[in-house]
Amino acid sequence: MYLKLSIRNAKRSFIDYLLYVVTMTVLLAIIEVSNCITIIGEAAGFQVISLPLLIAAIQIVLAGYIDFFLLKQRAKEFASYLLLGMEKRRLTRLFLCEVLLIGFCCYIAGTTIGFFIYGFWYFREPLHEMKHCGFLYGKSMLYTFLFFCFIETVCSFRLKQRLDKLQIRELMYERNRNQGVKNIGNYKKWGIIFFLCFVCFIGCVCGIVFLPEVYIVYPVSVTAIPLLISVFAFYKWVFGYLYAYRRMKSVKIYQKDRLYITANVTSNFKTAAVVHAVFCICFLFSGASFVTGMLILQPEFQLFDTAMRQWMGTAQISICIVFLVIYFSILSLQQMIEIRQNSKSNQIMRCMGKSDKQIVRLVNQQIAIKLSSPMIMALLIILFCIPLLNGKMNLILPASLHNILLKLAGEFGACISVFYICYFGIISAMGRRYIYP
Amino acid sequence: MMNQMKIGAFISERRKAKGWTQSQLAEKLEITDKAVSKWETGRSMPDLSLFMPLCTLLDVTLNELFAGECIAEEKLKEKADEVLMDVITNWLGHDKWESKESDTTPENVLEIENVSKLYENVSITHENILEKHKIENNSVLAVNNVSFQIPHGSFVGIMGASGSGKTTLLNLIATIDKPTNGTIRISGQNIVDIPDEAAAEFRRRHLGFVFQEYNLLETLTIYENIALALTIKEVSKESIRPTIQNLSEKLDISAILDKFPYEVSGGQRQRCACARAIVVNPDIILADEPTGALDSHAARQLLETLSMLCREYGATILMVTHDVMAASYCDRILFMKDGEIKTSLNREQENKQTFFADILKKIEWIEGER
Repeated sequence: MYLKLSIRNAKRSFIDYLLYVVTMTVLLAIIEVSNCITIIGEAAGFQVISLPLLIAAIQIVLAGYIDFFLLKQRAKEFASYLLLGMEKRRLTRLFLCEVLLIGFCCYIAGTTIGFFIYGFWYFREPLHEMKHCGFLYGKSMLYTFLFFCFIETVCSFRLKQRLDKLQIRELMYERNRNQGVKNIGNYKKWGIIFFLCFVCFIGCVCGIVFLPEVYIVYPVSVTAIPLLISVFAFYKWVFGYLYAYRRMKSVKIYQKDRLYITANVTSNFKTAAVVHAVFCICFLFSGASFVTGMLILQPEFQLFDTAMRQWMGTAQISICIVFLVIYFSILSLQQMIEIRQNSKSNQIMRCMGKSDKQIVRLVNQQIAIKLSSPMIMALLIILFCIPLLNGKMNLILPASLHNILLKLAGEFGACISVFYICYFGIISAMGRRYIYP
Repeated sequence: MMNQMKIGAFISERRKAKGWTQSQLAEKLEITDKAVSKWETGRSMPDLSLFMPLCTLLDVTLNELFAGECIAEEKLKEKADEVLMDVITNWLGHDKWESKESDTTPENVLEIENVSKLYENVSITHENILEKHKIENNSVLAVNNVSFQIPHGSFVGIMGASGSGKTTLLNLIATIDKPTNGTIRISGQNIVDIPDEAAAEFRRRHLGFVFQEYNLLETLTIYENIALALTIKEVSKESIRPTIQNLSEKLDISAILDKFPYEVSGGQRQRCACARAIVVNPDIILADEPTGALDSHAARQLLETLSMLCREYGATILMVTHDVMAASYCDRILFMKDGEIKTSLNREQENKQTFFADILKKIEWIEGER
């Protein structure tokens, strides 16, 4: 009976599961592609294992976030099972099996899609031979499977911990639960960490730009650490500040739609900070891959032979697209689900005197904020780094490539704008069906 | 005679010329924005003490205010005499009118005349409903030729079995749905044909809602839920905190203001919903089975709260219920059956117990009438 109930409820929350399925499939497909690149790269003498590792780290955060989201959606149902007499251990096992089973289906779909994408793009290249196809598929699938097991183990462990902690009463209200902190002044600590790390990061970039060539290796090797910490600390600080601002009942929040939007942004501010940091990192890697790929593809850039240059350049551009797709697709899907869940709030707002036009505007504002907020820190970093690095590159590269970094940053900006407008338009159009009664 | 509509339109024009909202003008005069709304729609005149500050704020003379237009200097004397004459005439007439006031009934907040609602192309499988309401193939007459009035400050209930058309009628009054025919006037304004954008503005200014399922926003605290209603109404941000504090003390929810809806009991949630409804000072509060999800103790507390809102805040409440105990708190009850108002019951001077017994008798009579 429990199984039947569970399947029926899972069917009902199909849209919520869609977020999980799409995220897992897309990311596993990307891991598969990057594993293929790693295997081929190893054969060609390159070390690119860091790419699937990085994507796996992103996937752990996102899958963990979606697992908790699914738990929230179905918490009331789980509370009912417990009330009917089901043991907690059995319930946990049932939910984990369900998630693992869906995850495994995503693994099959993801690896197949990933391998086909890789095959479509790369098998025409001189570096590959069709006879190695089976070997490559087998090896990359095995690598991806290991990553998948690692991701699922970490996520399942965290999910089990959460489920064990929740009692029936808490499960009843888990869906509506808002995150909070006892000490609302904690955000100041994150502000200091952000400031210090950002200064360190800028220091590293300045070191790369201004130090003599023999010493450059030192700042290059450590730059990523203050960069990643400052991204994480920045979002912890911003969300913590917004939460504190709201809880302090500052007068300025009680005008226009500020209260509603701030409440929406900060209702799960701890998770939101982590997820934003991950998306910001996706965005930064996308930008870095774009610039690297485009640079390698420049005919004046003569570090490798033409075939290798083409292959590496295209690989970098592909990575850029992959990260952009992760960024926009998952954020968009998350937005769609949020709009659907907020349809009741829209009805309430309508009764309180908001017109349909005003509600559409409010929803569009929310979409715009959610799609762009992970970019804020990335833009801040780009703003500081690009001019400095551009100056350094002007000294190294031939005159024909002067200011290439500024030009590429502009092209990347244009590319982002196109993605942004397209995704914004799609979510806004699709979200309207949940706005109008 | 002085033309109130003209004066109202003149105040509105001058206010807009200054770039102020109704709330901003009300704030400067330290009055409610509903009062400004009433002046501007010609439903009332400013109090005597407000004439001079109003003229100063709007940069007009008293003559111009009473004339309802700007007066050119060459016509000043002629117009001043006309205005003076109007004021004297009005004053003398007003005296007579005041002596009659005690004989007349209070102003109606809600007037409903011959309202019907026909749903076409409806597929209904419930045979009972089909039998009662079906008038043609796939058409359901949910509300049939309903007429009644609700005076200011009264607590009126609508009773009836499930599917009798109570909630449909409430939705029509709430501008959420449009009647097939008939007129619905709230504070003198016909709301039947107003466009969607104006309907939203109307709901913001004139209506308050209390629902069975509370309908509080779960991402907001109790305080923020009440504050949201005020921000939507564009009330000045500085006045929000004292307003909420005063009201929450009255409704006994001060201790839970910083909690989220899921952290408090059903009764407290419903009182918060009442606070959200009354805080914007609406002309009428529409309550759809507000005690439906509450236990008897919490339901009684809520009904006491609603009665208090009527008594102390002069709120007008229209409550849909099928609970006899809840209905016994009302001043008047309308009984609906098959989309029609079959009969009504006034409380007069009866106590709650006697009224309760009368309601039961009336229900028996309606059920027996088949």
